[in-house]
Amino acid sequence: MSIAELKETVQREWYGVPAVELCLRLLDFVDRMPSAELRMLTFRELVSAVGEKAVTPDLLTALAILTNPQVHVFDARALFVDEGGEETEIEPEELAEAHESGELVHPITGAIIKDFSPYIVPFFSLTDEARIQK
Amino acid sequence: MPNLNAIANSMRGRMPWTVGRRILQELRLDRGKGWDRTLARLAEEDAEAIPPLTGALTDHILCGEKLVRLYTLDPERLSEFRALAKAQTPTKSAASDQFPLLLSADQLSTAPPGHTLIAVIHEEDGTALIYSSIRIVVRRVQLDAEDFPDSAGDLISKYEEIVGIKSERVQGMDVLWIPSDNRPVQARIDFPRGMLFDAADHALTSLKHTVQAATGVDYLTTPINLFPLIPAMYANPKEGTVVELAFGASTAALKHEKMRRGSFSLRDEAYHRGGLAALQGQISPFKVSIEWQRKLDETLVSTPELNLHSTSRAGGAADPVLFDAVIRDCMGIADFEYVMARIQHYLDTLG
Repeated sequence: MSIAELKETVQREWYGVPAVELCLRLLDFVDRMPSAELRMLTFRELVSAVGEKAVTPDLLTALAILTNPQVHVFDARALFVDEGGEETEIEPEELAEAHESGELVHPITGAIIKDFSPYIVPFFSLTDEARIQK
Repeated sequence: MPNLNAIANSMRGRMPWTVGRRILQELRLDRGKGWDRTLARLAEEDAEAIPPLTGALTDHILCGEKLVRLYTLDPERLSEFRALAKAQTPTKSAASDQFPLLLSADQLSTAPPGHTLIAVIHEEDGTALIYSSIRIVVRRVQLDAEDFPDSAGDLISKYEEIVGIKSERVQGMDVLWIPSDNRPVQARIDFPRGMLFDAADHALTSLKHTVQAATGVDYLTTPINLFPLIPAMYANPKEGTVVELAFGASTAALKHEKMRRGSFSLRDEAYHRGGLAALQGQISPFKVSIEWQRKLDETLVSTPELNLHSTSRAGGAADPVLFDAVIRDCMGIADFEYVMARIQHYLDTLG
């Protein structure tokens, strides 16, 4: 789907949801940025992209919509940063499973970490299908 | 023959989880989430799994997570050294008796200091002398607030994170590889993530002294300078994926960039290219990490990584020197040999 088609889909499927307005701003941002600069968008970049000052519930809803399989502009990903600052990317499926089970495997030691949020830097990246459509 | 649990425990003791799980996937063995659950599943495998797992563990001892120093010997001295090395026999010890299994915590507490030859492996392309030694590794361990007595509750609640520092005795398996041809001799020192360089450097010195004492001659006197490979490998766009780079520019800036994101290379990253385009001159890399993606089958990719890490101070010298390459995340000998072949290519090319 083109950006214009994605906007139509979002407006139709999430009609009346306040976060749709932020979705449209994020889609405009995706449209004007080169794909190479959409590989790692942390919350800081996303807040700045939509002209907000902080992460709001509406922004979280907008990101949930844009990672929804029906739209799938972004993949939710994460970097695992260990005690020594070593970074390892966590695959989206592994991240989703960790959120579901409450357990993440340390990529180096193989130990189960239950309270893993301090080790994680969440980010969003443009999906391959969205990149092709740009 | 070692049992499955003992082999799996030794794999756990050496291998990063990301490497261990790929090896198990390649061997089509069941994996759980993390080492604990994987060990429980491996315990239920048939004895048929023992030989391939023993092989994978031996390969990892030979080439997994190593700091490598290369030594040039003229053909005559190399031939002499090769003959002496082939005649070496392991010293009987707990480590040699149970090779390739690692020593247990109890055995580690009584193991002697220094390097002990525990195995000699003769291959068509060379001979590997495998030495065991004891190292002290300092680890940060995250502690659980629930493990403290209730009386500590007020104190503990003031902290977001509770961390303990723990010194552990670990077994290093260092390898001296003497090739059958005239390529360089390799000293391969165990260098797991988190180990300080000084510990590896100390191990290398101890290994050299042990070899010299056994052969009566110090053959390892001329390490090869790998520094020229840093700019050369960075400059070749076909050479793997640059995942880490540090360099100086004549603007007086020192830059350190990292990007371990799949097959994306720092060479092509927009900010990096923009910076290069803004300069009239060249940058001077002094640290590079290159990863190669080696496809093993439709679903499995191995990603060995080479670190050539010097410092800005060394890089600014008139004749910069770097003796150590660190090779990580090898699933087996083929990965390691691939990386060594790339190093050799540049040594041959650069002269």
